[in-house]
Amino acid sequence: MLRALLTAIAMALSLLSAPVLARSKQRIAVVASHDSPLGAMSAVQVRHYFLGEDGESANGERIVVIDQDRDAPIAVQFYNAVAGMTMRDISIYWAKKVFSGLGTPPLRIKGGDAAVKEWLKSKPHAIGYISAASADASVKTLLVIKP
Amino acid sequence: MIPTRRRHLGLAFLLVLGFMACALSVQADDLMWNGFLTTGTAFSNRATPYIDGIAKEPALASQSHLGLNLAKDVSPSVRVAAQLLIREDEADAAVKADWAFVSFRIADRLHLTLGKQKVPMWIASAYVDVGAAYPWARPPEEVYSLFNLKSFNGTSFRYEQPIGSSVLVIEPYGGETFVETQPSQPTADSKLTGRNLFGASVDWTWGVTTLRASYNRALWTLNLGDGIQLGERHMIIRSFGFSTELSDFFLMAEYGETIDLDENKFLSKSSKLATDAAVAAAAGDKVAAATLAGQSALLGLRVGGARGQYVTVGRKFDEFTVHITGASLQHLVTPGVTQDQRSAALGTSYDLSNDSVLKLEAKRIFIPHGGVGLFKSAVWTSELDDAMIYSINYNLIF
Repeated sequence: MLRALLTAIAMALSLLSAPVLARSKQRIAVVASHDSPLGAMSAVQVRHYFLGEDGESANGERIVVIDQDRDAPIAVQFYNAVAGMTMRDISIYWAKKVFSGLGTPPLRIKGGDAAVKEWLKSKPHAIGYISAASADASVKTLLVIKP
Repeated sequence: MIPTRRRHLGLAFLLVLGFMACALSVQADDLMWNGFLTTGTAFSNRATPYIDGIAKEPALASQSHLGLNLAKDVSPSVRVAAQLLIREDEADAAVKADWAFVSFRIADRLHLTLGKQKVPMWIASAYVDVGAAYPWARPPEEVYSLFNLKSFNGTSFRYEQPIGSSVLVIEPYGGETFVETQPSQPTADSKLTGRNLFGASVDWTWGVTTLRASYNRALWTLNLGDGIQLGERHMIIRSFGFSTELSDFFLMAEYGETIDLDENKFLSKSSKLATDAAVAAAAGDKVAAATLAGQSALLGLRVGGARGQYVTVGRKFDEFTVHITGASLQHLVTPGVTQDQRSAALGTSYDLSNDSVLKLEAKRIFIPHGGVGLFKSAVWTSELDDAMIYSINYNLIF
């Protein structure tokens, strides 16, 4: 009886929360400024940097990470690709770290890809992510994440 | 009335401050501000008050609080961080430091932290006030209320050792602590003082699975207020925890227990005082007999020997999360009176956004005859049998 009731509740909730829109996906480039000394990165390294699990490059340089607006579709796709996490998961993840005093989330920049590229210009040890289609001569591509 | 008004004014002030910080995106390269609001109501279907001030009349849960967190990396190896907290159940509106410390990276994987810190006792100890960070409306009180120890002033080390694809985190610490047992009505003797406090926690995490164990030992001076003084006792608190996820399902389980190393000494004193009381009563000295009997009863209260555990199983459905939690507490307080209880909770939460969540939870509590569970009652009454606790919470991170 209880099992049937829980199953019914679960099914009802599942139907209520079913995604109604499919989002188009794109290739994402993890980038640094064009004159950055940083080299190619693996998806695991990128995950470590963006989740605050590591803050230094292989050469011991401190990596600064910048994030896009959490409501941006590219952010949703990025975190799903590198960490298998939803933006709600990311929010909880950082809440646990921040309110434990164990870390701070990446600086978030509004203004999309253009703002990220502009911000990276003066910071050779900073990384961010943009649409691969937006990657131009002003940035160095460290990793391409395919849809 | 005035303290209540001040409290609400303080809460409102911090609420406004928090939303201002949120709206203005107070965030710079080197100084980070974050905050959280955990609020809601909880009520029972019984007249006898439950733990945390939960009563029949719905009221702001005592877990309602607002926190502001700020951190600054002074250098690549030095971080200063603090968390300010205002709680609904405090006697005044003063903003208090939940924790405040300076942390030094003294080696590649080793950090030294000095200051007021959270005790790493349970899975959610470090963020127990941040409702948005866990699935329950309130952490299971059968475990999280086992002993009123949340923070300490002192030193800790944090060492992280990768082992294959897993990470082992070892966190030894030491210091002292002061715990107010009656936050809403503090008195000179409503303090728990823990000295020579030391302990360690070990977390082993691989992927989404974590195993943890914690040990804490201290010399406690137990003044519970209202003249209840239980003397100085060496206490041990230890715990074990496990959490994992599989697809959309998650599982959490914790066990904790308290051990009073001086229990036999106090029980012996209690027994002797009871004998003295009987002698005084036989001699017709009723006043002395009553005094001695009262002292005997106090010293006979068992502080240790409490064991609590819970298991939570849940599933995420996009914005919804549903969980079922079974918990139990066993604690023989004095012959004939226990805090034993079992409970089953069904909770659901709905993500209003990435940073805010609404939670509903219904908890059924079973108390055996002779027990009072976590109700504020001296003896069992039929009213305590089969009680319900309902919680509605709103949690926000900003």
